[in-house]
Amino acid sequence: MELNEKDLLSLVKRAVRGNAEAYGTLITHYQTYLYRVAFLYVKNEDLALDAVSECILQAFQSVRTLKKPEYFKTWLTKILIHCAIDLFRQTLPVAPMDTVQVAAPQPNISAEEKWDLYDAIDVLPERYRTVIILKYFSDMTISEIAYAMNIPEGSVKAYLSRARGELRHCLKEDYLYAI
Amino acid sequence: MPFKFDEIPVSSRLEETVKARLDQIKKEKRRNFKRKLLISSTSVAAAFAAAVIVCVSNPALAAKLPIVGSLFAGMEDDFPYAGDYSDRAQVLTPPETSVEEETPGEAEPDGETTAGQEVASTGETAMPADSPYSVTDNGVTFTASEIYSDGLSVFLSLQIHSEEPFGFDYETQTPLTATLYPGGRAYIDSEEVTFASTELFVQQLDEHNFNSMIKTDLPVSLLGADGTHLMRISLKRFMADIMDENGTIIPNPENIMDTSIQIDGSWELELPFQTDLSQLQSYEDLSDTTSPGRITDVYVSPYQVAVNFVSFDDGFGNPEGGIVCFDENGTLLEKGNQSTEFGTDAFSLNKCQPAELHLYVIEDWITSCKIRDEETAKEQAVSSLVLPLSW
Repeated sequence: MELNEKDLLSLVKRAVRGNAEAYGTLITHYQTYLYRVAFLYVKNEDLALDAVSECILQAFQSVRTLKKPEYFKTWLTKILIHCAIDLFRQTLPVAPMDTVQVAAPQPNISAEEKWDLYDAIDVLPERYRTVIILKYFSDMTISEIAYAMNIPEGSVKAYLSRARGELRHCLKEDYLYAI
Repeated sequence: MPFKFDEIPVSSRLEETVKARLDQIKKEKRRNFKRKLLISSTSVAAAFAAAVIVCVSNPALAAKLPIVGSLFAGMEDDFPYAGDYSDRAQVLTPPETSVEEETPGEAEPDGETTAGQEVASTGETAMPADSPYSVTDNGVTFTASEIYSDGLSVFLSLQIHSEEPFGFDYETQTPLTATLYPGGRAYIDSEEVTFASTELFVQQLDEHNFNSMIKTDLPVSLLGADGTHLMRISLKRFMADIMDENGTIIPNPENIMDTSIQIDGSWELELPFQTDLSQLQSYEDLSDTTSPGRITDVYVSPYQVAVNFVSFDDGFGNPEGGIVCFDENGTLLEKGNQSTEFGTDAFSLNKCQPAELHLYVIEDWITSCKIRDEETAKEQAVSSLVLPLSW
């Protein structure tokens, strides 16, 4: 079912009042988006599904706190990010520093072929990865990202600047090869 | 940029996962199960913040680092836009005298030490409390030291002193790497400048003291403009990410997305400076069309090359594109930090004086970062320009 902005706003308002049916319709509308954002973080089907599932629950439990219905998608993304990060942290293997090694370049596959933003974000620290995902994949504005990350707009701009610097550094050095 | 968001394959189990969760919610709702999850939003504090890499130095060496009034000398060789700034800079704040080391009869007649004199920087200095170039709030002091403008950018040296120690592990007595984000706004002659893409470089003296060198680009209207100008810095928040010994950012317990520490306050500095155009080379209006990819202006100072070009559209209505720059020998000039601005790129000359610049416009910014040799640049460029320089 195609939903226009007016429909979505109406559904959000009903969901905020506790209407589970309206909430379900909204979630169904955004489920593909949610899955893809989660997948960008965890790069794993099972974990991405877990993150979406957890997000759906947590969002419903707090939907009454949503002050601006027009920010529903941003607000939902905020919850999803926290869920994805939590899951990612729980599953991240812990290795002593001296065993962590940079992947060696593989023969016959040029770095040029492998690198793009999709791959490069994996090497970014958490918060830089988040701003890049929200800015370039979720197409959010600075103020929406600030809202989603619960940080000032100035921090968002700083993180974006820094993230791009980190990306530039990685691309320049060609020291990581993500497949 | 090659976005693949819409190409991420969606799991065949998504619908059933979502349905299962929604069914559970409906059931729980019937049981009147409610659990509040507090999610708050913070107010917008600062319009921008600038990222700063802190280069940790051994605190034992701190006493040998230059003090306020002669900071450029200690940082100019390591600054990403390396060059001789100390000989050309205006000194804003005279060198301070260490209170602990000063004894009657040893001070200069005017009570100040000479520029370049090396004394321990303890934070207990004889800086006049009413110095217009030093401001303190909430335990953090910013002291402007020297300033210089090459007609393209303003280069400022700044000392930061924090009463609250950070970036140091007391158990192991070792310094920790930190990233600083001073947040606020900057203006030049009342025109706001983009501080977020500023190049910043910081040396850590100890857990309280940092020396920094900052490059802020002049607004377009002042590029190559002569005369005296005023830089006003209005900082509202001082943030820092502290890394642990494994290089992992120590999270903020209240919000993992926020910096390790934050100090709110108000730090206002007004800094007069004069542009030095004596060595600036300007090549303007290089293209008679405004087609995307055309190089319009090139400016060259002893420190940097700034290139303006007509940016592309990334397909989402955002500007896109980047420049790759080589000298006459095919040596790549490193891109500077213009990371939030498109349609302009800056390159560090790193003390070199090339006879020619070979400029290539690349449609994709990421590709422009990856290119390391001129042949590849030629192959991928939308347009190019060879520009002879005269020194």
